[in-house]
Amino acid sequence: MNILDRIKQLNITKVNVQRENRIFVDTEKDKLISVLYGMKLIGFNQLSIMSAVDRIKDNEFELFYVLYNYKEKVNAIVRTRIPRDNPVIETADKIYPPAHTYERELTEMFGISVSGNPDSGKPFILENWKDKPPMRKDFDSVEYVDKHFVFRNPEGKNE
Amino acid sequence: MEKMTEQQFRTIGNMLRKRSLWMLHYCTGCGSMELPAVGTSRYDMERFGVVPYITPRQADILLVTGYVNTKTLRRIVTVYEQMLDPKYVVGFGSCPINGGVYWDSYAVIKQLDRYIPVDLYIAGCMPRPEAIITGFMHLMELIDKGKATGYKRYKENLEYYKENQRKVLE
Amino acid sequence: MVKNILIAIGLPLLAFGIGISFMGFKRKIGARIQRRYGPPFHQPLLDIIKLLSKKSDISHGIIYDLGPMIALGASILTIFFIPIPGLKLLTGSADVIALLYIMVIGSLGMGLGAGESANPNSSIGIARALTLMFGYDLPFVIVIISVLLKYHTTNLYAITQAQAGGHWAMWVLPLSAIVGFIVIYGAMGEHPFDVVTAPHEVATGPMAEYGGKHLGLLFIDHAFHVYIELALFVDLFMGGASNIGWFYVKMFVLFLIIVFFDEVLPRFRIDDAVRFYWRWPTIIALTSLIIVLIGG
Repeated sequence: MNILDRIKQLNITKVNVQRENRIFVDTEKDKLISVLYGMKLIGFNQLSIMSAVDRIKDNEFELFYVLYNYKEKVNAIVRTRIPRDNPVIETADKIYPPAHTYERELTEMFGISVSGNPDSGKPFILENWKDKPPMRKDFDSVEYVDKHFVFRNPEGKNE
Repeated sequence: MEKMTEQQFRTIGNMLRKRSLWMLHYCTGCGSMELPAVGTSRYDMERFGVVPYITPRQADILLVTGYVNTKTLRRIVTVYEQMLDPKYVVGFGSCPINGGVYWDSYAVIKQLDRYIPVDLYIAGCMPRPEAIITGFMHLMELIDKGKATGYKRYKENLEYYKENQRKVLE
Repeated sequence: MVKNILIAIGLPLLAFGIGISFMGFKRKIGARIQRRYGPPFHQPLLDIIKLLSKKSDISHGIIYDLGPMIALGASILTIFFIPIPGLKLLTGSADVIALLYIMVIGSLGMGLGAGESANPNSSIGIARALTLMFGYDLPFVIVIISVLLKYHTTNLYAITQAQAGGHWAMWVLPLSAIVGFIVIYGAMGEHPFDVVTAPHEVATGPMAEYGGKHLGLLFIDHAFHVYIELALFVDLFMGGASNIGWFYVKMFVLFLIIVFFDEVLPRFRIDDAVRFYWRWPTIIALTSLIIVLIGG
């Protein structure tokens, strides 16, 4: 049985072979953990990266987990969408331990809270950050810069 | 008369001091990639007595090579305050001058000299090794003339600098 | 009386001059080996003047301040034990053995001072310095014993006198001389035994927290140290010299060979360094000792 057939047996909504060695797997939010577990059983042993995309027009976050299978040399990207208003996901660090750190970053950069990860709320990269999570698309970087930093006066005169 | 002798003493001190500058390169960003070229055979900066040193206690120059995050600024201030007088700061590349390509980044500070006193900027993105060596020569000139007084400015205007640091760090 | 005072001031100055000139040569030769122009010869002197002119208002305690002075004092004391041409001060019977003990004080002083700075890099550096000292002292002591047995005296001046007329201990005891040469590398902290101050591993080790005037004193101490190691080797194995110029030339030739090796060799790990010293140099030194005992 090849890998694609085995993936299709999981709790997924759509599978899309983008090109050779690259499979996109879409699933629902509730079934995410079971799908990841199934992927691990199939042989996707490594979590290369996990992050999120802010789909502000749909009012959703798109999470993606990039997995790699060393045996078959195949990349698989597991995607799911969560509502933007109440972004809570379940931790995957029992299945993929590296997810622990990625989830901390997710909390800080997107404001997605992770249940089951005790470190999820702790400060990670940003220090003393009080504004909106900076990777959200409605965070206006230029406005923030204007508020917090002072640009050099072109004439060379500082106050 | 006494004042005159002290002045002469200081002048001689500066003359000798400028020939031996140990730098601590605080390697943020891409500027640190130019320094191996400056230090090694082709553009040998040891000719002028400029040598990289390891710890802030031993160094005279703090070389800030590239953009400065608010997060790294905290470390830079700590390192700067650990160094012993007289100490000089060289801002390196266009990012410490005005933010450079990170002008709209929420994490990068725009003017280094608002937070610590900078004696010399070397402009460019990135400055070529020749520019760096010219910059060091210029710094030596400033030291010789007694104009590189950043460490004194920091003490005199401590409130101003601390206020600015507090604004971005807290 | 006046003469004694003059000697007491002059000899350390002379030693400092010789040591600092070698430090300058080292940087210049090293630069030339790396195909660079290199700093001027008097660069170490400029460095020391600059360091002494810096403001050092940071202290971590009394021992921290005293540490470099203990090291410097021990070095100056050692200088008076080493006979140079036309001058033998603290020579007497068993001065070689006293020398062995006094040479340790410097490292201990530096260890005490750096230990109080509570910098983890300093602590690692001190641990390495003392471990390395265990490493090179074993073959060194065996070498000294074989030299002493060979010449039936414990007086350094008598040993140099016995080698007069070209009968250098280097030719009589070649194996011991080789081991002595290897030991110099460890004692001077040159490659491949510069584990103590390895800048990329422990941030200059014991000196990590020292800056300004303290570091200037340590640099002066290093200049003395260079002089001591070279002068001791010249006295022990190269037959001393009849005048100071010839003495300098001998030291310079020895130093040149040391620098050539130093510039091209990488660095040992500390455990490898100690293992190396306890293996080949010790075996060679013991062989030399056995030859001396059998052949006389």
